[in-house]
Amino acid sequence: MPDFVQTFMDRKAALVQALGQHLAISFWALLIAVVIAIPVAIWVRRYPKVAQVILQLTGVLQTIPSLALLGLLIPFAGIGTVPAIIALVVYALLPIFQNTYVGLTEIDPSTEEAADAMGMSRSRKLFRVELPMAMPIIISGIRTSMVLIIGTATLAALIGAGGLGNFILLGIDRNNTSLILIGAISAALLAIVMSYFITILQKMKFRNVVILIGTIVVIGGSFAGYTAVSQLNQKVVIAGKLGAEPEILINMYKDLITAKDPRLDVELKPNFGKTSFLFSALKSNQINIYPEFTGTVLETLTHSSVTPKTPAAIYRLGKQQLAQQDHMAYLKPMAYNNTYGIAVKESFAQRYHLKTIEDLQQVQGKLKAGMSMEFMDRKDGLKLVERRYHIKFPVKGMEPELRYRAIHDNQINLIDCYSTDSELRQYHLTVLQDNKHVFPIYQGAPLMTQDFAKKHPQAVSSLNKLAGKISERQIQQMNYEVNVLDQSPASVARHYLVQHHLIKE
Amino acid sequence: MVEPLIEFKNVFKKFDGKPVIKDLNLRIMPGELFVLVGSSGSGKTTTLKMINRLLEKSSGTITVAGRPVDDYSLTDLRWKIGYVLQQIALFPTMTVAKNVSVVPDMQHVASRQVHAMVDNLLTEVGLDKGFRNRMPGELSGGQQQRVGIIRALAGKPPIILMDEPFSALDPLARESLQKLILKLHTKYQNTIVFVTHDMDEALKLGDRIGIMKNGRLLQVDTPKDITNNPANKFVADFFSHNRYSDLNKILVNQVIEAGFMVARRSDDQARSAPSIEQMSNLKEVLRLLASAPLVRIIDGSGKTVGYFDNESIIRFLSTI
Repeated sequence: MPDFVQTFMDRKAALVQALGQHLAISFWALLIAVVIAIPVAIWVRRYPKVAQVILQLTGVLQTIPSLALLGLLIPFAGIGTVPAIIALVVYALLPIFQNTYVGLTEIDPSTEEAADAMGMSRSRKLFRVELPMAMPIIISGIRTSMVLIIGTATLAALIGAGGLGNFILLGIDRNNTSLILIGAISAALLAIVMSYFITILQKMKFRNVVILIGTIVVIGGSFAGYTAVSQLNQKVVIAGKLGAEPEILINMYKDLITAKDPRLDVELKPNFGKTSFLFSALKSNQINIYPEFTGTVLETLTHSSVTPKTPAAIYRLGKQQLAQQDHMAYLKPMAYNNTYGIAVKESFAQRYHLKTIEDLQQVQGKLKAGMSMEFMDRKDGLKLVERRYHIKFPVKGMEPELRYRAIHDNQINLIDCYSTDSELRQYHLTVLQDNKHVFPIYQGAPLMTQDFAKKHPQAVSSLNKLAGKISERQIQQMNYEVNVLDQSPASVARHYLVQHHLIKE
Repeated sequence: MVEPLIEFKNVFKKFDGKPVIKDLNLRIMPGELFVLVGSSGSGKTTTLKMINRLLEKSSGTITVAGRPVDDYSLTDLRWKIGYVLQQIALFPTMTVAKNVSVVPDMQHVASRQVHAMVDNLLTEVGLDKGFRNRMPGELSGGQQQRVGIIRALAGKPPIILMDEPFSALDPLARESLQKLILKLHTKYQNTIVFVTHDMDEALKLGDRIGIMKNGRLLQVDTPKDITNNPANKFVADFFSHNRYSDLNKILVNQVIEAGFMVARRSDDQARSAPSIEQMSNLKEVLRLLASAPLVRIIDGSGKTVGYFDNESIIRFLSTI
């Protein structure tokens, strides 16, 4: 609990910003859904067959898993706010359409007849008689959609639209329950508050509601327009995947670039999403640079049929394939390898003179391992280690976080890990060298389009300063400072650059 | 010669190819309270709704004030014709006052004028100003239909169509509303076309009555002529079946029409006789005669019409 309060206080500003983004995305999505669904429902109520088709259609749309929908939209709408709003609109259509349709068609025919017999025109009948009668049902449809939107909008963070989902994703990534709770509770509270807001709107006069919504639209629209126009200025957007490590790296990129060219406007988009989101964003010029791993390039981006053995060869092949297939420029990688590792306590390693995984053969009888299910299951994980290094030891499957606690408490003495985990530093663990190259190579390097590289030669040379820099120890330390000591990625990045004379103070 | 206000000439109406109105010819004169009566499926409501074009005829001509209804714009036609529904169908989201002023508001009548008119009309039908801001859902069925009636009157239309307006109401409310209709009709001198399946109601209200069966008009006549000279056996049966089946439903008027009223007298007994209105029913008469030898019959304005005594009523009852 004190943890939760502390996290909340630390991130108040970020929370306000996320709330704002969340609210803006939700508002536009809801407004657009209303503007589409209600007129369509009004139009089709005289054609029950068409209405049935539309009901089915919107129903089908709603069954598409939100993640899949966001993914499907990327080729057409790219990433960021626009596809997020499109996806949310798709989900919001059904309840509003259905309720409007039902509300209008369930009006007693005799009331319609009375209106006709009074000589009302169609539009007068609609606005004076039908819509007011259907309004409670329509409003409840809007409310359903609104709750749906605010909940689903947390996924918008996955495609870089920001919002409260950022907190949840970050929380999951950093195994920080407080962050997850803050994101989730805020979303729930937002839904309740907005629901109450709709209740108030319902009690207001129709004209005042229109004026109020109109004002919000004008203010919101001009703000969005202003932001869009100001973004037209020459600007370099650097994005990073989820987590502390990419955020530290992109801060370094920014510092390096602006050190050479202070006039360049660099914007960072940390925690921007997963590999495929970032890569499509890069291709569609929504972002300009992001750090990518050599292993991931071959595996996910170019789908290479071969995997060379040495790190240098892997990088060369990835660079070549990216250039050919996607006209990308892939700058030189840093030193550290972010891959699987086998770790023991530093004291344990010293006592038994352990440097490599092979050295474990001498202490086989003493080993008690705790490993993640995934590592135990993967073909290139534990099984390959046992075969290639001819070792065998008892293993318990464990949750990733529990592993670290368990080795710290001496319940086990060997674990699997990612070679850059901050916990390695936190619990004073040593990663044993993979001298037989069992684990794949994942070296980070800046990725950008060739166009961008040509236009910004200075930025390229600045970024290349990182080539061959940053050891695994150093990145563990930096991850530790961000994840555990809660220092800002920007200050950690700057500190490293200054210390290693890559930029001046 | 006076021109008819509403005229049907060789009107046919088909639903899905099936004829429901067959060669209808009818002239309704200005100021008339014309009742269309018949059992369900006789085509009476269809006939009514073709006048304000809620239903379109299949062939033939219908004129209103000498002009074919198709020549009017729908709005013009319907503003000339008030409409009262069986389902009442007040607009549930509007207050009583808003409901009544629907048509004047569309006609851009000044709001002060509308306000005063609504108040007048409410008083006219026995609802006070306190009802202005009530919602229809808060009113009883009878009160709702009073509002329904003045909603139809508010545009000052020369014609009012009433589609079984009282059949959903309880007998008490029905009776008082029937009186109200007669009163308003006398006052505004408008032309009313009134549809009902209730023969007693037809006899009570109609200046003339049109009897319909299977889409044809069997007989059009005054209540008296219809009772005395039914055009055919169906009409006769329709009456005898409906008539006198219930003492509550036999009206003083009908007893007078059947010729059982005692002429004016001016003795002491006559002066102390309890009075009863023409629209009251026979049961009421019997209750009064239980304690007095003579009952005085008065019309709407309180004028004495004649008397019933024990003997006249017993003779009437013996004819049933």
